[in-house]
Amino acid sequence: MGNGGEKMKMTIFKKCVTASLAILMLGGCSTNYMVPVANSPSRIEHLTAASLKQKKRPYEVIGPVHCEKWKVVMYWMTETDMMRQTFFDFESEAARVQADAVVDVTSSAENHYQFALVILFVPFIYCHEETHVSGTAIKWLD
Amino acid sequence: MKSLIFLKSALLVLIFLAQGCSFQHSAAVNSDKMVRVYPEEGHKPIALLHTETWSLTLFCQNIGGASLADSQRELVHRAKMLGADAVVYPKNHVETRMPFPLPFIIGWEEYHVWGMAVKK
Repeated sequence: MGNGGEKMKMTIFKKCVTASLAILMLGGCSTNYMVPVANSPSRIEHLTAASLKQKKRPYEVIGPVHCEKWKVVMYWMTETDMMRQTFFDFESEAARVQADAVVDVTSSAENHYQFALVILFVPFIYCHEETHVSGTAIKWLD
Repeated sequence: MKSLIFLKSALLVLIFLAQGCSFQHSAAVNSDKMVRVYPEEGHKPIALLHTETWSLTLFCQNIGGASLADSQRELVHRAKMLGADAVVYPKNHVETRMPFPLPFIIGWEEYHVWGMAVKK
């Protein structure tokens, strides 16, 4: 009897979890990240391929640069500042390879909810967040 | 007893993860000047190239040997095989993967580099 009751409670709990997950997902959610690059404190210049072409300044490609940052977060405490930190690390790496500028910098952010954790525990509590910044390092030849 | 050890390990990993971690990758291997940011006048696109190399990681340390530099070299090699004069609009992306059962212990890294091969 005791075991049957426990099983029933567990089934109800799982159903509640699944239903709450479905409701949350139907509602949708949004997170915004913004990193202003125009007045970056570092000496690294930020360019697009088009703006580099307009400069008509001789350059040499050093190579690709990528930076990623990982962090475990509670969903509602998503750190929008993480992208900024990743961006600073990216600039540091570009400076390390002696770049004068970075071209076509792209960024991405991912929130990962492990399926097993979503099913076993309360959904949307735990996830890990990744922020990526990548670009091409160049140096001036003049 | 085993479950207690597992729980303690999981807690330690969570504490470690909550602090956050950062990985930087760069490759200064464009010695033959094949990769350029934009095409020059007269350049025509001949192929969209994408290369990726994968590497096994153990405690976030790359033990497989692949790197962003390898992907870059492979991209240039493929472009040369096609008879391209340059690879333009280069892009890159690195993915660090740590599967759930053994987070931060065993994983892999993917190094993606792509661009457009062009020829005059």
